Amino acid sequence: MRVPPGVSAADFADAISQFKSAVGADWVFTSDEDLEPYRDAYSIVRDEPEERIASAAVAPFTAEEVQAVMRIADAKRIPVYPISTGKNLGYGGAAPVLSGSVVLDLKRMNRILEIDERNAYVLVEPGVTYFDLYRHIQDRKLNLWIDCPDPGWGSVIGNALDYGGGYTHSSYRNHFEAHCGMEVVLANGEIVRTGMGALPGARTWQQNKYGYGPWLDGLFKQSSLGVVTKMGIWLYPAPEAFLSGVIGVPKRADLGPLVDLVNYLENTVAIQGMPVFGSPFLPIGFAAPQPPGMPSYDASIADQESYAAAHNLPYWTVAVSYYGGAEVVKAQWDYTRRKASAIAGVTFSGGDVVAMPPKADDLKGALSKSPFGIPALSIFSIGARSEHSDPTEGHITCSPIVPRTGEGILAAYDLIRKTVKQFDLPVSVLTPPIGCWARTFVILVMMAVSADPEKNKRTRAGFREMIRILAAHGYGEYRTAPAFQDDVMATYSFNNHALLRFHEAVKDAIDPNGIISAGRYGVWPKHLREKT
Amino acid sequence: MIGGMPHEYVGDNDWDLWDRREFMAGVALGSLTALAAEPAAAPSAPTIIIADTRIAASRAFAAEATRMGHRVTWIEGDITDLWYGELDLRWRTDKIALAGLTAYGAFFCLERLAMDRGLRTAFRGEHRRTASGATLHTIPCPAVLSDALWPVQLARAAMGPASSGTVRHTTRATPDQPDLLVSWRLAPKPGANA
Repeated sequence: MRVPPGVSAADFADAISQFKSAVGADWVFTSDEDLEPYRDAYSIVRDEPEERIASAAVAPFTAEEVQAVMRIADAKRIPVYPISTGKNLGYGGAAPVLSGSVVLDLKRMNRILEIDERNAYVLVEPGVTYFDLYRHIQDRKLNLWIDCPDPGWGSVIGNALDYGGGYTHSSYRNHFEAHCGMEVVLANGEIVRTGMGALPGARTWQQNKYGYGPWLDGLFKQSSLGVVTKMGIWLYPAPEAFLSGVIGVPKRADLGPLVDLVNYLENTVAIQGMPVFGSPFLPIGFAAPQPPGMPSYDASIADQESYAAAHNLPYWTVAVSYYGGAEVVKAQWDYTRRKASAIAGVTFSGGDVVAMPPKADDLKGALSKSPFGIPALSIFSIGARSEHSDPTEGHITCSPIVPRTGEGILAAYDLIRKTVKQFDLPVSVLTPPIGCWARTFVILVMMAVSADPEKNKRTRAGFREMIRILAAHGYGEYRTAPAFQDDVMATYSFNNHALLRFHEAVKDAIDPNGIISAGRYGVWPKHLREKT
Repeated sequence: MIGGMPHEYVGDNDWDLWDRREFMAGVALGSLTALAAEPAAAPSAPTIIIADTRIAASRAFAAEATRMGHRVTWIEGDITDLWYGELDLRWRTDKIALAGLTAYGAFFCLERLAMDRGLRTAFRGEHRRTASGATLHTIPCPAVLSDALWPVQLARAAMGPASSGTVRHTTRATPDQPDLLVSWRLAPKPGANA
């Protein structure tokens, strides 16, 4: 049996025995076979000494059992690593950041505690997946939608806490912003409820986020300060209709006006769905072949534009989408067309109104059902026949936050492409600017993990350089895999790392023994900072 | 398609549809008749076979498993409907085993979901298409694989126990074969909890 760092074998054995008393012996795991699910399936350090391996896993059933586990761990100084369902692949999965931690697996806490159709919210536990919530709504024929990321097997709470995003209406795509109220177990076992939840018998815990006094919820985003055991999520009252249309513009320089237009329309809520930008000259697969004769992204702009004109292709496209009443979405598309007509040579396609919920025929050929609030796992089958998109070892993703301007996007792409070439990084996917979150884009640069440790070593070195170079140009990561969380935190360095020092001060105050998620997002407890 | 078999694949000898020329070659070599004459392997625990309609080798694997008495559920790459419509509900009360010869993505999803519900990987073989048009097989048992019958032979092997070592074979690839196929069986861990 592995033992957590700094803990004696006798103390750990005693803690395991107490964990068994607290949650039941069947729900404490220590064998290699039982701990296999708690390895990171996409680890860039798999089978290397740096791989993060859990010493044990404990799966409580209730918040009271979580409290008991935390009290035991705090008394014995056992590091614990809470996970909801551990499905944030590419960002660590179920594996702890500090090797030897005990994974606190919350998957058994999968109750949907309250759902309210009239005010469109739900109160869930961390083991509730998007599939679970979708089924709950469908079974009860509630007029509600969920907003889910591409894989629907993840935890509603876990994804929100990790700052995940989805694809429906802008009010719900940012999953952390769509939450309302939390219950959190602290390191000493105490329970705190945030927002209106602090008022005993509150009637509006899932309707008012802020309650009274300073708002604490942000402390628990990408955090190591507590174990979230309940969370409210705002749901989307099912829209009557959906409309998607594509705007095309002919020149490379048109990206600026196109992004400005989309910003205006989004910020006035004239567009509600996630805008999806693209260009035939910016292939999503970095190594994907272009059609014969098509100039590459690096070719001259004149060559690209003349090719586009000759083949009746727009240089840039953006797919925009609308949710609401049929007459409303049609009017919004008409309004969008009128506003976009200011760009010379603009073209439009699509624009059919589709009644919701979608019928099977409406979904035929759709790459994803997520824009309709339907969870799926199809993202894992898209690349089944592709040389590049079905890596058995997984991927890591560099995810810089990019300004919502044409020049900002182009500058970021130029820098990313240059860095990829400089360090020969194994990029399999370079996405268009992703607009799950309001006001900024995120570009995803996905790199394949290899079975060859030497290749992974080179990828890690290049990845770290990319983080550093992007940050030096003002692009910070929104999320990253455990192997790079210290590197990213180091880039948020204004005023001699004042933000990190603040995080550390809070960590030391709230979790003085440093037992929760040590090292998560680059925040280490005092006793481990002193060692390094 | 969940729970049903697309009509074009129905038939006792469905497996030979994966490549009729290979079927005839197998007959000529006598290997097929010898294999077909064998009684099905000793009944293993009830297992749902997951087969991908798009992949001939997967269909052939499924046909042999059917002959062994197992039920087949079909997918087309994506396992969403299989999960939502069947496994998520069934595994809450009945940890039935699964097996198949599928693309990696389907196996990966099912393995992760199975581990969450107290099942474990009891057999895992990899079958990589090489640049020269061959298939390199790495399997955890001493079964012999032939050009004509390897999906069928794999179905029998996957239902049996895995051994500690791995065995490598090279056979020809089928025309529609993805870069990587995985043969696998996910079985309940003794005493597993939900």
